[in-house]
Amino acid sequence: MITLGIQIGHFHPLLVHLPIGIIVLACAIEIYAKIKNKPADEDLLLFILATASITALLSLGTGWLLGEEGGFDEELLFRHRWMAIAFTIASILLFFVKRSKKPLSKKLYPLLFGLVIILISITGHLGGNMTHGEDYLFRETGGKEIVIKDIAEANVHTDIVQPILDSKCVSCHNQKKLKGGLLMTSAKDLLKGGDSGSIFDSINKKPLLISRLHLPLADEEHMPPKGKIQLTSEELSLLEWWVANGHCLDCKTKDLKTTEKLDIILSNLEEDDSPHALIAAEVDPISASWIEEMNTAGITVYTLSADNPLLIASLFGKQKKLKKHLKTLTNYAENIVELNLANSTFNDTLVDFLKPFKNLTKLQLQHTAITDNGIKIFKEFKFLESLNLYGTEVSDAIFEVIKNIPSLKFLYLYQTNVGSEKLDKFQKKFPNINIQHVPKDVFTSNNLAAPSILPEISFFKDSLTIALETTFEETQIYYTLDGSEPDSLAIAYKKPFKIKETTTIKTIATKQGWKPSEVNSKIFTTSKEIVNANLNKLPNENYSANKGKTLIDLKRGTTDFKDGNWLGYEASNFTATLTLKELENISLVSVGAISTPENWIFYPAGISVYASKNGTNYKHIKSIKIPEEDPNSNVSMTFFDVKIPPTKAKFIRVEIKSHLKNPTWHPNSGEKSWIFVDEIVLQ
Amino acid sequence: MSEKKIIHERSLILNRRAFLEKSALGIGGAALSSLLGVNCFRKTESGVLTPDSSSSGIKGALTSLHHPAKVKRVIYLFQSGGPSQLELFDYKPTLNKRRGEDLPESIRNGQRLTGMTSGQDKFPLVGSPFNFKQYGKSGTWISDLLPHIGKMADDICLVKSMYTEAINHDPAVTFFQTGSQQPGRPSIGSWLSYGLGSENENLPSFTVMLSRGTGRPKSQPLYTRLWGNGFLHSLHQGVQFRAAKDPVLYLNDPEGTTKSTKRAMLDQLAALNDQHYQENGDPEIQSRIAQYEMAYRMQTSVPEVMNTDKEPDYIYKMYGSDAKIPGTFAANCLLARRLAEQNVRFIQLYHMGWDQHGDLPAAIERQAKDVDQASAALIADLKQRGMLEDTLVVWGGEFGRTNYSQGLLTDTNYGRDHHPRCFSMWMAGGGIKPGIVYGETDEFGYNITENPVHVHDFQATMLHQLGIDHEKLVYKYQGRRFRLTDVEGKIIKDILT
Repeated sequence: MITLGIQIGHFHPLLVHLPIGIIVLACAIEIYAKIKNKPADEDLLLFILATASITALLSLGTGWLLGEEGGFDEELLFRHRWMAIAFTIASILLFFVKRSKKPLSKKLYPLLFGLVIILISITGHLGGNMTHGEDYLFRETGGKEIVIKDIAEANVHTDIVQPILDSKCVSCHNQKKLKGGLLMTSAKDLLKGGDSGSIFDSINKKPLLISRLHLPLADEEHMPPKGKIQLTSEELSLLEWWVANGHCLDCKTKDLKTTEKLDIILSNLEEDDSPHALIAAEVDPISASWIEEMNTAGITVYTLSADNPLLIASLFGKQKKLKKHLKTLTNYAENIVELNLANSTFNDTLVDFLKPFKNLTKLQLQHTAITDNGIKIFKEFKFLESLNLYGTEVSDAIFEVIKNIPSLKFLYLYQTNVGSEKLDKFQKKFPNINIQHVPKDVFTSNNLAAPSILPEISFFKDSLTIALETTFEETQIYYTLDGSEPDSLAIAYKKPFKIKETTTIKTIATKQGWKPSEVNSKIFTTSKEIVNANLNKLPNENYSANKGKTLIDLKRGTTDFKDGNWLGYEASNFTATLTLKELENISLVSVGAISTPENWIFYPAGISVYASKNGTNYKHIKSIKIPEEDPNSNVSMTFFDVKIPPTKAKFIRVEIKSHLKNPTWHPNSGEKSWIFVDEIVLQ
Repeated sequence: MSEKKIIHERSLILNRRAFLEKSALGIGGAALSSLLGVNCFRKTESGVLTPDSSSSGIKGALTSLHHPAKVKRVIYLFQSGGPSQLELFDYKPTLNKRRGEDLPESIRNGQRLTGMTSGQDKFPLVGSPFNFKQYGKSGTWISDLLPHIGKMADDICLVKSMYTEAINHDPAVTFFQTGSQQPGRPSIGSWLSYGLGSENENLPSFTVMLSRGTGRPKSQPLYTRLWGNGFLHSLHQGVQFRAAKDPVLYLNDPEGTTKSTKRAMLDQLAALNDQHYQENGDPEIQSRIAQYEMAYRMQTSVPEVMNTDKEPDYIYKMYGSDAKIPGTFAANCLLARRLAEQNVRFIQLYHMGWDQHGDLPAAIERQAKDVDQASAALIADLKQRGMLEDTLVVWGGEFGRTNYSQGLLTDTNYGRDHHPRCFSMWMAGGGIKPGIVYGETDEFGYNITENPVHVHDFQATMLHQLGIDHEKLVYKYQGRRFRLTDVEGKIIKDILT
């Protein structure tokens, strides 16, 4: 839609001259009538003015659309637009004033006519400035383009500095305008200076020329003045460099000291003699509608950039009609510098269709059926820089072909039939061709992934089926059940197995060509069935999880104390009373806890165990003390085991004591500390 | 109001902005007809509806690149949480010598702190307990934590002078991804999808994959808006590929649906949607039709690209055995390469868990192991396939970490807080000078002393490599032209070939 608008907008240059000519014609008729002193034909004049108004309206409409396209100096565009609106309104008014028979109109008419003429002149001038440049009328002619072939040999003044001055300064500092009494057209005039003295004399430690360029844009003295095209930072650096080196007039670039940054700027001034530039200079311009046509047909074609006749084309992955597609691309074969045929059905029989693409700099043929029979075609591409043959059947014969392509820089032969010896030999002979392959020593230390131990629980009641799994095929898994380190003499895993008591499983995986995996180990703990757990006080409301049930759900918490599997108590001890399903013989009470000093959470200070058969009379069995932790900031989890003489009981009461306060070594020592418990297990 | 009238009203309201925009060009009548009357889809030979390139935005808003591009695609390995540059890339022996000393105020110089360390009255300096070595011809210093990346040092360009303004995760990641600390702008990948369109019509041009690090497994979550389209058409949003049976959610047909019923259903739906579009012209309807069709094509293309069964054993030797485990960073790197081979334009990986405020030495060792081999393998793999030439690989987080310990500094343990003033990133691939180190920080690793690179500079450079002038890729929204780099951003010419 917008495109449609712009195309209508393109009629602006055609229409815009009509109102100008017509209004001038009307003016000429009026003046002629005045001189001859006989009235002009009123009807005819009205018709002319009406035509002028209508064409003015049309010009305004198309002009507005053209303006939307952008690419114009915003300020000029703004002024041109509003002047044009003023002119259009004035010309319409003029028509009505002419038609009116009132005496006032008679007086107003010549004045308004004058205004219309002035408005059309300004509008036209502004429009001209927009299309031809602001200095179009007063430009010094004969500005010749300077081509720098070798930047080191270039004359700094005439080849580098003067062109900048010519493009950015001379439009005001020339013979005609002579702003500030300064002429900048030649070396002699530059040295002469202007009304403020020599432009190379220092003011505020900087030469006048440079300091004026550096003033803020809003400053009246800033050069070039606001509204004119400003110097780029590169141009500024070049001028500074020249002035700092004594504004030498006959120096060559190589005579002056440069910095790394300047070298980059300078090298950009050199004539572009890259293959792309050479090809671009020779080929025909590209038709946008052809590209559109290609894209609609499913062929990706696009220009390197705007206003560039060179093309990138891709037939990537095409499985059908490849020959037809290649033929269609032949229309602009010479424009195509990159062609991607990867993963397509390209093969030796289609090689001849590549012949017209003589300007290719990059050709991608990876994963195609090309073989040694088709590779001779590469000799045709005298600009070829990058050739991708990865995953094809080509072999050593490729070297005979490519040694005749001097422009080649990158060659990809990964997963081909090329022998590595031949490749090394060739690489030594042609060090400029970069044959990419992964160095052998980069990816050497490769451990297999350790097997995973399933299921993902830590406790069980009677028996548990264990499975060991690995994602790699042809892998052998070994394991031990006695806590010893597994090696290839350990039990070989064939199928899931059962355990009946608390067991530590350690396992490794091995595979030909790989280092054995690290050891993965896991403890599965048996637990008596506890049916209920009562807490003597509720945990902190933020860490109360499922209250007592959390302690007996046989689910471990993670290192994240907020995960909902932990009960947290702030500066407080607590007691849990556990009810077994029936009278059992208990010999071990384990309490799972977490320590994360960063969060003021520490292991308990002590655990006391009481037992009862009836739930009313509890007998103290054992207490343990847990030493205070050493300074650390680790997150760790552990079980604290309280081994008791085998005791028959149905009820077990566990009292867990807190340190209540952060230890002295803690940055917040003395503040309220926490204990977090996730599980109590009885055996 | 009668139903007809309501529909009529709505068509006027819904299109007010679009209508005014177009009619402002002066030929409202013509605009309206094109807005409402044109069918934006065509049927291909296989019967699939495809967006018509000329009338919808799917081919990309830019008709041609602003300048020749160096790269055709980007793989962005985002290290979420803020990796500590001091343990990985920025070698500062001074910090080891002055271990435990308080950070001089002249260096800190009023830098604002996060709520996590602002209560600290001492800022004890701490250096890396891991050694650094010089690698390659370039002699780049890289930590022992990253031996594989070290071996690829001659292929990467290490930037040690990145800086940002944000100091907390969400604004900082949002800043990197969208160019603004406030949510609501399009992500980089969305900008590219909008500007350049898709090169593979069977896959989205912007894909996202997440992995959780072992350094800090329960770290901050990420938000889908980080790969959101902001104010751009919703078809430009990133598509997340998950490590599960259904890589893309709700992509598979329900049981009992055949391919042909699905096709018939989509055709009917498209006809209905199109009718609705003719009535009220809401451009989001076009997006919706396009998304249905894309999903249809992805039903075959996604399983193909996600199925790594045929990758040979030596590929896993490169990427490491973790690459066999779906959802790991290594597995995602391998998938990234596979997506890049299919010409997906912007492949974004997020690896979480770098936010190591405490217990840093142990955590960063695990975390570095997650990424080291796979990151290096990705570069090597792209290189041998000839793809590093036109792919840009980026590795980095949203900010760095402080040179002083957060919390207690013990003989073996410490943490580090967020540090926006300097951090390290690396890039590799087309048009980037390989084997160089750019920018320098002071001996405390706290301030930049040379060649600072702002987030916007990085974004401008990335767009530049893709052939886009970052000042010209704009989208007008709410009366203002927006761009990825806002009103800033300088191309880092020094690191470009």
